Amino acid sequence: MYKEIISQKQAIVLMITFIIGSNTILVMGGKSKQDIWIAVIFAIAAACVLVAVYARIAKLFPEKHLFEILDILFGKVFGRIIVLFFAWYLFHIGAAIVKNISEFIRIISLDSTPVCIISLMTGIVIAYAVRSGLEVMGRLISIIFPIWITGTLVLTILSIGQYDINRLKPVLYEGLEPVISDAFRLFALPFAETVVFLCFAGSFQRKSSPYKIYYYSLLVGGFYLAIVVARTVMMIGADNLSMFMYPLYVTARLIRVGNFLEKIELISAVLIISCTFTKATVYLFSFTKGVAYLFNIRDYHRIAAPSVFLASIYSIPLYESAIEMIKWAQDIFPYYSIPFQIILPVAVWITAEIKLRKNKNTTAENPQNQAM
Amino acid sequence: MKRIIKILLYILIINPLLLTSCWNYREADNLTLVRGLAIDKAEDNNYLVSAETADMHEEGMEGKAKSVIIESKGETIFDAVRNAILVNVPRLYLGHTTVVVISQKLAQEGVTPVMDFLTRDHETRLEMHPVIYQGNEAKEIFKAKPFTAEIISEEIRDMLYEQKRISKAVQVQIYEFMECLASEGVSGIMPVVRLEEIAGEKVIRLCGTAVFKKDKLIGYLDEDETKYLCFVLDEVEGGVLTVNVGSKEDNGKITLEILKSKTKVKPSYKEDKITIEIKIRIRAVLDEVRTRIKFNDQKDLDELAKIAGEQLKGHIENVIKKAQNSNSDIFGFGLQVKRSLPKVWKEKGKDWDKLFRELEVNIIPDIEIVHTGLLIKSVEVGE
Repeated sequence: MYKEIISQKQAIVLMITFIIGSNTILVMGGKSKQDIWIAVIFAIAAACVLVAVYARIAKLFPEKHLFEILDILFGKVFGRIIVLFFAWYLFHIGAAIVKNISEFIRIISLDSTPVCIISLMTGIVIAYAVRSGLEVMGRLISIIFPIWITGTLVLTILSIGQYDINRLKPVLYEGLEPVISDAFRLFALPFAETVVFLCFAGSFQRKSSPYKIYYYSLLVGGFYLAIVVARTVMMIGADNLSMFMYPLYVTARLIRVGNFLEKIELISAVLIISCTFTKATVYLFSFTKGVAYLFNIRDYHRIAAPSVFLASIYSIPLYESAIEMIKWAQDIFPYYSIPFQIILPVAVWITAEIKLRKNKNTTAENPQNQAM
Repeated sequence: MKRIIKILLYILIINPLLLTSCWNYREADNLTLVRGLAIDKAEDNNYLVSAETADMHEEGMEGKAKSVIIESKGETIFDAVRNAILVNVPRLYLGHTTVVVISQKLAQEGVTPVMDFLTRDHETRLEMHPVIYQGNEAKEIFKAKPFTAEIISEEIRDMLYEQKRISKAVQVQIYEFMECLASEGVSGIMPVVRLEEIAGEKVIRLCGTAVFKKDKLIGYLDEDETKYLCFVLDEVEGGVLTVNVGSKEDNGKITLEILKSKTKVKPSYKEDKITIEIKIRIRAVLDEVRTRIKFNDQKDLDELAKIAGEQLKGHIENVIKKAQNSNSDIFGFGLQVKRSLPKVWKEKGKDWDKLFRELEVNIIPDIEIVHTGLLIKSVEVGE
C-alpha cells in the first residue's frame, strides 16, 4: 500500500492548530479567574513531561502507528482489545468536537436550522478531508495556517486599544489551588490530547524528529493560548469571561476602529470554526485508521465516509445543550481521558523500553554465542 | 467518460441537499432595523419596549433613513420585542442597536433583567450604550427633535462620543457595566439623559451620571460632579476647569483648558487603616481671564495653578463625600485595593461598605499651565 508521508513542518502546523482547536470554544473561564493565563503556563509545563513519553514512543517505533505498536507489544488479542477502547475514545471525542462546531454555529447564527443538518454538513466536510488522506490535510493546513495567523494578528492588533492590564490584577488572589485545578483541566484539554498524533506518527517524515514536532507545537500552541486568554481577560474582565459562552467571539464583537471598522466578529467565527474543524478531522482520521486496523481493511480511505458520518450522527444526541457540553468538557473530560492520555502511553513506553532492551541483549549475546 | 458521469451524479445528488436555502433566510429589506430601545415598566408589571427603527424604504439616492417608533408590550422584554410583530409586520432586528434607554423607575427596581436580555440574546451587541432617562417614561425620549442626525438614538450616541471634549458625561458600554455588576469593590454608573425645551422644541440633554448600588439606581450626579468623577476615573480627555480667583466680591474667574490629564489611584495600608492617594497630573492652557488681576509672569501662573489645584481638590472631595453618603463605590476604590493590596482586601473586603464610608482619600493635584494662548499679558484697559 502507498505510504503517506507528511513533512516535519506540516506536522508541526497541524499539531499547533490541533492544540488551539476547540479551546477557542471551550474551557476558557474557570475558577482561577484572572489567573487563567498562569494556569495555561502550568499546564504547558506539566504537558512537557508527558509529551516526552509520546515523542519517545514515536522515536522508538519509526514508521509505525500506535495500533501497530500495540499489536507488537501486547500481542494480537490483547492489543486489539486496547485498540478497540482507544478507537472508542477517538470516536467519542471526535463526535464531541463535531457537536462543539454545530452548537457554536447554531447559537451564533443558524438558530432555527435543525442541528442535525449542521452536524451532517460538518460531517461531509470532515469525511472529505479524511478520505483525501493525511497528505492532503497536511497541505491544506499549511495553506490555512498563514491565513489563520494573519486573522488572529488582525484581531489582536485592532483590539489593542481596549486592553486594560489592570484587569489581570490581583495575581494569585485566591492562591495556587484554583490555578492548579484549572491547569489540570487545561493539561487534559488540549495539551495531553496530542496523544492522538501517535496514531499517525508513522507518517512523519523519516528524517524528522518527533521531539521537535511535539515540543515545538506544544510551546507555540500553548503560549498562543496563554496570550489569547490574557487578551480576553484584559478586554472584558475575568467575571465576564466566565459568564459568556464564547468569550473569544464576544471580544471580537467589541472591536471597533473609528466609525467604519466594526462588526468584524465574522473573522473570529471563521477562525474558530476552521481550527475546531482541523481538530475534529485529526480525531476522526485516527478513528478511521483504528477501525481499518481492527477489521483488517488495508485501505482506510474506503471507510472514511461511514465512520465520520457515524460520528456526526452520534454527536447529535450526545449533549442536551451547550451548557451540558461545556460542563462535560470542564468537569468530566479530564478524568475520562486519564487512561488514554496518561496510563496507556506510559504503559506502552515502559513495555517498549523493556522489550527493546531484551531484544538488544539477545542480539548482543547471540554473536558471542556463535563466536564461541 | 465514466468518471465525468460519476461526478455529475454526485453533484446532482448533493445539490438538492445544499441548495435548499436557509431556514431562517432574511433579506435586509424584510427586517426592521432597530437603532435604539427604550425600556419601561408598565403599571401591570409588564415591560413596555419602544424601538426606534430606521425606515429605509425611502426611494432614490438622497433618501435618508427616517425614524419610526414602534411600541409594544410584553411580560418580559423579549416578549415585548417579539410582540412588535403585532404592530409592524417584519420582526425587529436588534443587531444594530446603539443605545438602550432605561427608565428611571425600572432602574430603581434593578437593571439585571435588562442586562440579562441584552447580553444573552445573540443579536444584540455588547458595545451598546445603556442610558438612564430622567423623567417619567423612557419612551418620551423618542419624541425629541434631533439636531444633527435623523435618528434620535444615533444622536444620543454621537453626543456620548462628543462629550469627551468636555468630560461631563461618562461613556459606558454594556459589558463594562456588567463587569462592574459582577466584581466586588466597584459600583456601576451610567450616563443620564433628559428632555429639555429649547425654543418650543424638545431636545435631548445629557445631564450627568446615574449612580448604582448593585443593580439598583440610587442617585444622580450632575454634570459638574460627573466631571470630577471623571478625574478620579482617569477618563478626562479634555474639558475646561474654571477657577475662582481674587476676593468674593470681585467674582473673578479664570478658565483653563485641559490638554491632558492623568490620574493615578494608589491605595495604601498603614496601621490597620486603608487610605487612598489620588495623584492627578493636568496639563492645561490659560484660555480666558475674567478678572482684573494680571497674569504677567511665571510666578503668577504658578500661583494660579496652585489655586486651581486646591479648588479641584475641594470639588473632588465633595463628590467623594456624596458617594460615601450614598455608600456606592463608583470610583472603584475597592477594586483598586483588591488589585494592589490583595492581602488586605481578603481580610477587609467583606466590610467594604462600612470601610468605604469612612475611607480617607488624599488628593494631590498637580496642574501645569503650558502656555497662555496668543496673549502674553492680560488685556490692557486704558485708564
